[in-house]
Amino acid sequence: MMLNQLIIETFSLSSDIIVIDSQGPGDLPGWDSLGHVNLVNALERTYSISLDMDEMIAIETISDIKSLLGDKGILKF
Amino acid sequence: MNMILKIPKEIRSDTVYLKPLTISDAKQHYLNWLADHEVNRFLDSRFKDHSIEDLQKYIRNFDQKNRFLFGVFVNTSHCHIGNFTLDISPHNVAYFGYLIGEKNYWGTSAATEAICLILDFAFKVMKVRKVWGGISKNNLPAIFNIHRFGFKREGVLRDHYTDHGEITDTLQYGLLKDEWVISQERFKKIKRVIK
Repeated sequence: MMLNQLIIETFSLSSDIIVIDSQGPGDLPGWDSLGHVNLVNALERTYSISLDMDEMIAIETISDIKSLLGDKGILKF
Repeated sequence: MNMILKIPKEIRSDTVYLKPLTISDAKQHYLNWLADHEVNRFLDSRFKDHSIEDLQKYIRNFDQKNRFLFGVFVNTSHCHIGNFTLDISPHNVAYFGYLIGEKNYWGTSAATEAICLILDFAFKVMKVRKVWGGISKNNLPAIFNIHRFGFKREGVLRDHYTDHGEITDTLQYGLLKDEWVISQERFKKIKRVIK
């Protein structure tokens, strides 16, 4: 699953939304504290990765997710 | 100490307002929160059953001078949806805790707005130097929340907490006044009135 689609499904956004790298909590509906936990779970499940607490709270934007995935060797998202 | 400071008449954001809780707020809805396993998962109150009288006794513990218990109420309906505590030490440092008991308001802006209000109250009205609190390592939504508010992790209390049979750490987080000045920029869209 592409990251854009994962974000849309996790936060129940309109399917035609294109998320942009600078967006974070407060920019996208549903990206609150519970939404963030759901997002982390979805990332772990989809990309078969494990995120520790520091990695989880370091995610503040879509760009941070991409960097994190890159650091974990996932280059296609 | 801040004994001569008075609580503002209005502590309000777009969606919610804070009001010192009184014994008249000790009602069934509040008891229901404490009995709800999703709400009480990270509350020590889950270890016993409670009565209205227990709530009233708890509320009386707060002098509203240095130990504050605020209810979070919805502007439009005046519905009581949660509580904040703020306990200011002689060192001018405040320990805070909160719960949003009405689950309909989970995932809304209510908690974010209410945290902004309590931090404004602590730093601007009570003029504390620092706000701090402890969170179970398993309480990821709360950790996410206070991280967004600029809190820094200051310590780990190892094997300090039991989460339904699992022994886990408690994380201590603190926020200095200058850090709040910086991080509140993130929340500048939230209109806050304190007067």
